[in-house]
Amino acid sequence: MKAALQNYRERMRRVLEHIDRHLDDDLDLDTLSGIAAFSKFHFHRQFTAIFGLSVHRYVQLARLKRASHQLAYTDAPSVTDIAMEAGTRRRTPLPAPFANGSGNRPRLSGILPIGSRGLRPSGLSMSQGASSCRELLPPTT
Amino acid sequence: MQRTFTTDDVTIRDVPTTRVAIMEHRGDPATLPATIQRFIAWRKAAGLHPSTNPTFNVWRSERRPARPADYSVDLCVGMDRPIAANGEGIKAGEIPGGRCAVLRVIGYTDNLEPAALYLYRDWLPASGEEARDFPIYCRRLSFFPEVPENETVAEIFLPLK
Repeated sequence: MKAALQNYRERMRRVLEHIDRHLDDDLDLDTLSGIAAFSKFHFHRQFTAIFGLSVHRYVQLARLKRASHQLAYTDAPSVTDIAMEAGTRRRTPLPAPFANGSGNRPRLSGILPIGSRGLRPSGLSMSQGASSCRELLPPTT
Repeated sequence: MQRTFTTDDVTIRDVPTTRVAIMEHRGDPATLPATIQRFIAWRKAAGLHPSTNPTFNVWRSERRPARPADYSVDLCVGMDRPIAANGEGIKAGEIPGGRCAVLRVIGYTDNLEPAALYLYRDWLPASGEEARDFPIYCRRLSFFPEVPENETVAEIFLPLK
């Protein structure tokens, strides 16, 4: 039973690693279920059951986390370029997740790394989102 | 109401292939009630009462996909005779037979997602079983308001290899 559980978690870990390495690619359910070698009919619920958020949301948060670090720590070309990358294949210049709660006005403060540019995160921070999923999978021994 | 389940609630069952008539719902879950109304109306007109013909829901997509248009569920009636062509968009199909993990849910069966997630979160990873390439589905054994809501019964089937 323990071996089964470890094997199962290992397959999910492969998915998280694939997402991290392919943030610019198409990360749809068909692709990711194939990485884990789970049926596409079940994979999305298996993922949500383990990590507590949908695959789509996880990918979104991983892209936004990268964007927040680019904004905070790198000489990024422009905020718009970063926003476009984070919301790949969206027509709107700033993706919906940048808008924090109500209203259409984008708010970047909520997704910036803690302490960066003197801003404090509000709402769901990246560390509560994408990164914490990996903590649900204990390291392999 | 959030119930808790244990492995004792799950049984492995070998189910036969079931021929079904399918009304497909494709699109925003907000329009599902309208599809259910059409399904019930067709069923009554065709004389396929739940007491004689079993009711199944096959969940083909996420419960709340990122794009609501991707929502997909099949409303099915088990039947042993072929269905005649008709104007209501009913298709013939089948629920393939095979091994299934079955979880019986009693009461408040309108949202079976928490029970399904129990199977995926707790039962499946520890079982060593592998899900088969057919979606998770349920059989509805009684209906609200024909019985009180806390007495409705449904069985969830997780197809296994």
